[in-house]
This record gives sequence, C-alpha cells and structure tokens, in this order.
Amino acid sequence: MSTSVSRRRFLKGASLAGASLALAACAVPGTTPAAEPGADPIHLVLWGWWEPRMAIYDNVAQEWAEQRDNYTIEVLSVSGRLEKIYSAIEAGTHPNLFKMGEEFFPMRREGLLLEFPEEIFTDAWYETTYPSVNWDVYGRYVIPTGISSTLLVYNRAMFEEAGLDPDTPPATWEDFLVAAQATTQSDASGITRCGIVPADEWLGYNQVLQLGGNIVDTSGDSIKANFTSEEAIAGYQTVADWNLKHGVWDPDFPWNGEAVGTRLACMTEEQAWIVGEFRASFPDVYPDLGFAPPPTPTGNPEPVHGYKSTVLSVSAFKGDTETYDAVYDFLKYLYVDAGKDAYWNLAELISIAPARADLLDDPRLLSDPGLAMAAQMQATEHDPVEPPGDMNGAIGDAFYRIFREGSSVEAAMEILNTDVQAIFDRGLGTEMQ
Amino acid sequence: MSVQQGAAAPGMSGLRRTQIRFIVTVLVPTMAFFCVYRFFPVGYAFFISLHDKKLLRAENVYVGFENYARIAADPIFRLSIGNAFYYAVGATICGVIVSLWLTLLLNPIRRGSLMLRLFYFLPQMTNGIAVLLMWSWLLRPRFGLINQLLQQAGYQERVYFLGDPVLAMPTLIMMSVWGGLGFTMMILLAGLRGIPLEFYEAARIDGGNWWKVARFITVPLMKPVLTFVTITGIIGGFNVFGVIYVLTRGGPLNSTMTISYYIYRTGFADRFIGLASAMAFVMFIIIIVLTVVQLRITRENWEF
Repeated sequence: MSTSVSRRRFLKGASLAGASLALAACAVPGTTPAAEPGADPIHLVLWGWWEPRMAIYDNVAQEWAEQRDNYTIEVLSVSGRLEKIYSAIEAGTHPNLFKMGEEFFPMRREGLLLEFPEEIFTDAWYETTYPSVNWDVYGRYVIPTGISSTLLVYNRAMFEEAGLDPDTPPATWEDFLVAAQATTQSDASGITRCGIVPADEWLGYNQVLQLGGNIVDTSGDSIKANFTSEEAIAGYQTVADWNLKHGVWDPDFPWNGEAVGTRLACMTEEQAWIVGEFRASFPDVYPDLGFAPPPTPTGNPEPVHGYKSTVLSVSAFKGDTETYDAVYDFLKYLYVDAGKDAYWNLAELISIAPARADLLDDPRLLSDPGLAMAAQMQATEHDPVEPPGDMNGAIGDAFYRIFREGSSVEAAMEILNTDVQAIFDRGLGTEMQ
Repeated sequence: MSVQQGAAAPGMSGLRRTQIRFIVTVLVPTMAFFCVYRFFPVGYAFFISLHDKKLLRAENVYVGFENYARIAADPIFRLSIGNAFYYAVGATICGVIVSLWLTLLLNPIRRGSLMLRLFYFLPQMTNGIAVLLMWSWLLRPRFGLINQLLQQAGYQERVYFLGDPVLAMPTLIMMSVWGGLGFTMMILLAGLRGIPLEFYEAARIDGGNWWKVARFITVPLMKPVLTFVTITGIIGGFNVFGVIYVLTRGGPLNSTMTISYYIYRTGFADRFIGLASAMAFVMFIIIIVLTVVQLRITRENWEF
C-alpha cells in the first residue's frame, strides 16, 4: 500500500527533522553531562590521542567502571588534540581527564589541573614507585608513563662488514667518527650509505648537551637563547663537520629512522621511541640493530648522553566538584590498583623505558635490547625542555644557511640566537624554565 | 494553487501563512544555526582580537587595537599575506590555463572521454594527505624520482624543490595545479558544453581553424565560467593551509609561510589567540574584498 504525503506535510516533517539534527549537532561529543547534586551515575570522560594507546587506557577504564555501580567512563581518541582541548577549556566543555603531552606545563602553570590527593598518593608511594622521577617538575598533577632517553642505534651487520666489533659500539666522539667513516659508502653520485644520520628534530642538541652546554640559558629571571655559547657552537660545528669535513652524512638523506631502517645509514642517535618504530616498520632490519649509550666527547656518561624527555600519563582538570571523588577513584585505580601490566602495555606500545621501578627488572623489558638499554639510561634524567615549535624550525633554517648558503657555523648561530630570542621575547618558551 | 487556497482564508492570505510556516520551520532554525555557528564566532573573534588573550590563561586584558598594531609591525605577517597571494594567484592562473588547454584538447574526443575525465579527476578523489606524502617522496633531493629522472636526463645538480626558498612556493603551486586539474576541467567542460553549436558551425563555414575557434569563440564565450573559476580559486588559494602544514611548515626561511598557517601557529601552537584573531580578521577583510570583486564581475548577465 502506498502512502501519499502532501508537500506541506513533507516540508513540515523535513523541517522538524532538520531542526532536530541541527540541535543534535550542537551537543559536543564526549563532554561531561551536567550532573544533579548527588545524582548517580557519575560519568567521566577521558581524552587522549592515538587510538592504540587510548585502547589500552580504555581497557583499564572499563575494568574500573565494571567494578563500580555508579560510575561510567568514556575514553575518546581525538585528533588535533591541542586545538580541541584548548577550545574545550575555553568553552568549559573539557573532559574530566586528559592524556598529557607538552601542554601539561602551561596547564599546570595556569592552575587548570586538579592536584592528586595526598592521602591516596602518599609521599612514600611516590618515592618507592617512581624513584627516578623529578617530582619538582611534575608535582602532584601527573605521573609519567616512562622516560624516553636518547640511544645510539647502529647496524651490527654493517659494523662486521666494515671490520668493526659490533659488541664494542663507539663510546667517544673520536670512535664514533671512525665507525662512521668505516661504514660510509660513496660512488660518483655522492654518499650512497651514510655512516650516521642525526635526528631531524632538535638537530645537534645532543652534541651540545654532551659538551655540557645547552641551547637555552635558564639561570636568570628570564629565559635566554644560548646558541652563541662556546658549547653550542662546538656542538653544532661537530654536526656540520659530519657533512662538510668528514663526508659521513648527507643531509638530503631520508629522516634517520627511515635511513637506518632501509639500510641507507648505519648509525643514528634517537630517543627510545625509535626502537618501536624499527620493530614495527622495518622488521627485516630490526634483528641487525644494536643499541648503546650515545657517544660523548670523552666516553664518560657525564654530563649527559643526550636529550631525554618524559612521556606523561593522565591528568585531571578542575571543574565539576561533584565528579572529584570519581576522578580520584579512577586515578587511584589507574596508577595504583590496576597493577603494572597496564603500565607495561603503554610503555611497550610507545617504546620507552617505564618510569615505574617495579618494571625495570621485568623480564619483558630485559628481553628487549633497545628498551633494556633505555632503562639503564634513565637514571641520568635531564630536566624536561619543551621549547616552542618555532624553535625547531629556526634550527632547521640555521642548518639551511650552513649547508646551502655556505654560512659559517658561528654566523648561522648568531642569526639563530637572534631568531630564538625573538621567540622568547614574544613570551614563548617559558615552559623551559 | 496555494494562492487560491490562501485567498479563501479570511484575514490572512494563504500565501502569507505558507510563508510564515516556511519561515518558522525552515528559515528560523537555519538562521539560528548560522547565528550560533557562524555569526557569533565571527563577532566573538573580533571581541577576542581586542584583548591580550592567551589560551589557557584566565586573564583577558582589553588592549583595543594593539594586536592590530602588532601585526602591522610584524614582518612575517606581511610576508605571509604576500605568500598567500603568490600561492593563490599562481595556483589559480596556472590551474585555469592548463585546465582550459586540456579541456579544449579533450572536448572533441568522444571515444573514451569518460575514462580521460576520470583520469584527470583521480587526484581529487584520492586522500589529500596521501597525495602530499607521495609528492614529498617524489621531490626528495637525494632519492626522489624526479631528481633521479633529471640526473638521467643529464642535469647533475640536485634540485631542492621543497628545500629552496625560491623553488618551494612554485613547487607547491605545481602540486596544487595537478591536484585541482580535474575539478576545474569539469567546470570548464560544463561551460564549454553550454556554448551553442551554431557558433562553431558558423566559424567552420567561415574557415576557422581550431586555434581561431578557441581564441575568438570558445574563450570569449566562456568568460563568465573562467571568471568564476578564477575568483573562487583565488579566494580558496588564499586560505591554503593543509599543503603547508604537511609539507613545509612555512619554511624554508618563511618562504611558504601563508596567512592561514601563521594564524594557526600563532593561535594554537603559541596560544596567542587574541593576536591570531586579529590576523584572522585582517584575512577576513581581504577575503570580503575579493568576494565583492567577484560579485561585481560575475553579476553581469550573459546571454548567447
């Protein structure tokens, strides 16, 4: 049986449907519904990014919710996290919980985060569970998943082929250069295999740190660019010389992970996350790779082997006080009760050494040569440096001037120092202090 | 019919009642939607642009037009406007010329024309990020296919397509032309098919060859379509963001820094949302001007 619908009725229906859809679209997904005082259940929302990681958080979260009668939790993986979380905070529609990145520092400074209660997270628990974490930096606002130390990654097969002992990786800069020269291959078109390809991001920063310097000076009241310091110029000169003087690196090669992963390079220095990248994306090369502490000028571990950063877990936002008990209960479950398996899963996924002490001698960690090496190195943690994004671009421009315009390192560093100081003068980079 | 029905109703015409219902059920929700999601954000952005507002910071200090003075003195902002125009005009003019040329070449082809159109439209249907990554591999200085081909052809110098401040923007323009070719061709083809065949028959009788027909008939009669494609292309190109974000991040040496990317960086990476809002308002005014120009040009009536 066919039903005829008049034009007017159709128009009316379509209009109502349109209006309903428009109103439905107004609802922000994943925001906390307004809870009546004392009303149950309480619904929490956790935002983060990268679906495989958020799936691990979701497992823990749903376990937590299943064990409770009146709490539910929604775990969402959001793309463009910074734009979304900043907008949500402005609009007051932010989630209860957030997987933190470098935005932790300004959020903490602006007083947006909820402090973890002392009665749940006791000082004794902090000291025994996370002995290598500098709590002055993080306070009671977040707990690190792990520490991403910089490693020397080298191809053991290429070492053997070049007559080098793969069990004795280079420890000094001098040995490093010798190994790089021995493993570099060239033909008429130029270098066909680099002895070393440094990390794209923060190019040269490891060398400056290994010399005991830094690219910023945080000793005064305000942060200062420090690219013209003796150590910075010497560190950047070392990296430039790999190309200009020694011919062991071609800056036109692919990024360091791809170069080593496709056997276009023998060695690189990179943070521990690269171990997982090799394991997942370059499984045929992965068994050939060896991991060691990055070489230093003297071979000694002091002052540091390189740049280390800390991967943070979940923080809670201040907001609806009715949900605080549920938030604390979830944080306790996540950080204390859920056990170390969830931690291990997260650390293994992002390929870092876990910060949690009871995982550092875990057989799963020790059976992974890259992560085992990263775990050894996290004791000399360097305070976090979270410079503004513009700064990395400015360093890239400095190397453009050196490699493509023939500028001296000193001259390029002068310009770089001015550019970065201008960034600081705009009020950026305060997270670094 | 509705007029007659309405005329029977006392006091209020049926047409008016229908109009009121239409307004209440369709226009009011639509206008409300636009007010909430379009006009209010624009007004609020202007409000923010008058404040020293930084994301995550609670204080919101009124500074009047100080943000506008700051961006007027900012050399990178001025550069970003110039770069955006460079990209927009370059990509549009090159895109229209190449598309028109190909459209004129392909139009007479009847056999397999659908496949040819599909071929040119393929970049439009492919995931944009995947296409950009493919280009970044092709254009690599050391192992990129294009450099390898150039070397085999005897050109031994490495070409830094995306790494040279002079070449980076033309390279992005070339990629844009390639990516937008199919869409522009579709519009031009529709315009071409709208030209009465009598003109061509008359030209043929008068002995006009392909070039003369194209120059004296096709192109002049396609002026409305060409104007539309050019102006909308320039407005769209002025907003360019994705290609910059994925491939160059405004570099090298700010040579591909466009206004959209600079606004994004200032607002979300640096969190100076008040300053970024002022930039966005300047961009808004530029686009308004471009749109008025478009409306003035395209409001002429064209009759064949």
